Amino acid sequence: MSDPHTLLGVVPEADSAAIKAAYHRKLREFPAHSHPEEFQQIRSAYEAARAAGASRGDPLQPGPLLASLDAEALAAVENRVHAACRLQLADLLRLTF
Amino acid sequence: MATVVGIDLGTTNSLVAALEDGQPWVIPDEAGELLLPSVVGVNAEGQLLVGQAARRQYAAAPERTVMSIKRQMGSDSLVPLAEKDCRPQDISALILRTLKQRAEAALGETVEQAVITVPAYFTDAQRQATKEAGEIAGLEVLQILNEPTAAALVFDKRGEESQRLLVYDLGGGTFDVSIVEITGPVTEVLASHGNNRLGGDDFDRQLQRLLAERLEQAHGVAVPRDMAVEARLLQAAERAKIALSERTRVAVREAYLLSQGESPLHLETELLREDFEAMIRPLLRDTLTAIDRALADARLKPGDLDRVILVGGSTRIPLVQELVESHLDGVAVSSFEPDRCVALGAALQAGVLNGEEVETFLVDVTPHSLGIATAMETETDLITDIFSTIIPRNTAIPVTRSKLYFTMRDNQKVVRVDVSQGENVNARENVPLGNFEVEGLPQQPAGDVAIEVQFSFDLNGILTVSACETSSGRQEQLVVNNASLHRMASHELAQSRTELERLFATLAAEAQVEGPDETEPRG
Repeated sequence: MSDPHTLLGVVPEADSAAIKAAYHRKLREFPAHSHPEEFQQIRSAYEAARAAGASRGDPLQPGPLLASLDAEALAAVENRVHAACRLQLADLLRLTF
Repeated sequence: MATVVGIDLGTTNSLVAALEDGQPWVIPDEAGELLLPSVVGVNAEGQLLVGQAARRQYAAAPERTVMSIKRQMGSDSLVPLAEKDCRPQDISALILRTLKQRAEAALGETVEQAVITVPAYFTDAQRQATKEAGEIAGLEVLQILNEPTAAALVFDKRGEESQRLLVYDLGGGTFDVSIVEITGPVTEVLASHGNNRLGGDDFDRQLQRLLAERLEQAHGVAVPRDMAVEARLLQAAERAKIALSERTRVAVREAYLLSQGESPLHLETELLREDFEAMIRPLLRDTLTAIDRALADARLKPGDLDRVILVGGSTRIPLVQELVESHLDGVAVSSFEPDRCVALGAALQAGVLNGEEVETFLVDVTPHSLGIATAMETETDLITDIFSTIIPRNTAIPVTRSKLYFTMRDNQKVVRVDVSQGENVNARENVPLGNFEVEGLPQQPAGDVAIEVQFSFDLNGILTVSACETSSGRQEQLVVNNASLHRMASHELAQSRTELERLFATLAAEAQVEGPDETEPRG
């Protein structure tokens, strides 16, 4: 797949407003209900371009990569807690009998 | 060009709308009523009743009347009607068929295609059941559209500047909140959340219980588990609820409700708005939590919203408006055609799909995460059934996503792909959608064999899952909710249709024109 900015027809330095406007222009040309394939390409390009903009923009704004890592880390912690609980339960049983 | 209608198939009331010169309008029945009560029944003579007539007989004949069938859509439960056990989609089909006839009578042409709305938070099975109901009623369902999205489509203050709306849709049986961004003709859903079992019905049930307690206290008798008594109390509760939106206190009188020996017992009590509010407040608090989650998913703060739109009959309750207003302090809250806007939006989308001149471009999302069950080895334990999300909730649809997974054992020959829908980290707690296996994997050490699992989710809610072993290219596929693979075979569909026709023949025998009823619509 080609570069997201090229696909949307914007320059790589385009700000979020310009990216969104370009996305909407493409959307009107290729609506989701009649052009599902094209829509998905446009949508992926829009999300990629937006993410690129966000990561080089405001340093306080967490990029989407960071956010998705967060979710996985959370799941991992949760799993570890579950494992620990089971372990403790096993210990408890061993101590009891 | 054949007419395509938009249908709001509600828990309490249903509507049908069509497009005329680019403008949607709700089609009334012969008596001028816009709302068709979503009630189906059979009278003492065995004739089918749909709508107001069925609703009117409910208190007298609850055992022959079916209400709020929407809450059972997608379940396996069977409802007895006319000496036959009906599936929820059969009952819904009777309502849809009535609306189809209404539209055909008003438009003077046959109607064979429709857009039908469902709560945004409906699961796959609930959507599929709705689609099936349409097919049984003789309608090709062009799209299953989310209700809050439909409501947003008719929002008329459109400019080139983006506006962010929060649609708060509290109906008779379901609650949805959607955050929508509108830019000119483009309507984009950013996030949806909800509860499929929260609505005006629950408020009625709570008031009904309170009335039963009052009755027991007043007469010192236990209220028997009698369908007719319960039905009368429920209707009294519903009337009181509607009245309490206008007044702060309401008198409830139900004569001859019970008898004690020879003497009849009456219910005579007064309900205060504050008592009602205290009862429903905990339920409404859950809707505020849902608002927060939808905002978080859309990565917005309350201050980023331009407006809140209240939709659905239950938003007439003053406490609902009050709580939403104070929770989203400073955001303008308005109500806009709370009963009609969903049907109007469905008609607009129907026009779009029918290629009419409607300037509307819609991007919607999938409200539930989609993924598969995976396992993980820790130092001490093997943890199975970990839900691995492939399409996260609130992803714009249609969408295709894939992820790589690896074998867990040396020389593992088979992987099983268990597909489910939901937000729980434990896959077993989510809604199962299907499973399949990829066999004949190359004999390799654990972790050396990669399997790419790809999910494609389309606008009609059809999920195609494929799993491919990357080195050999061995591939298996599963299609969830594909109409052609669905458990309802075409001969079953034909049978359901015949059954429906038979029931309708009894309806046609009866005069359908009835005077306008004094009962007011409710949510």
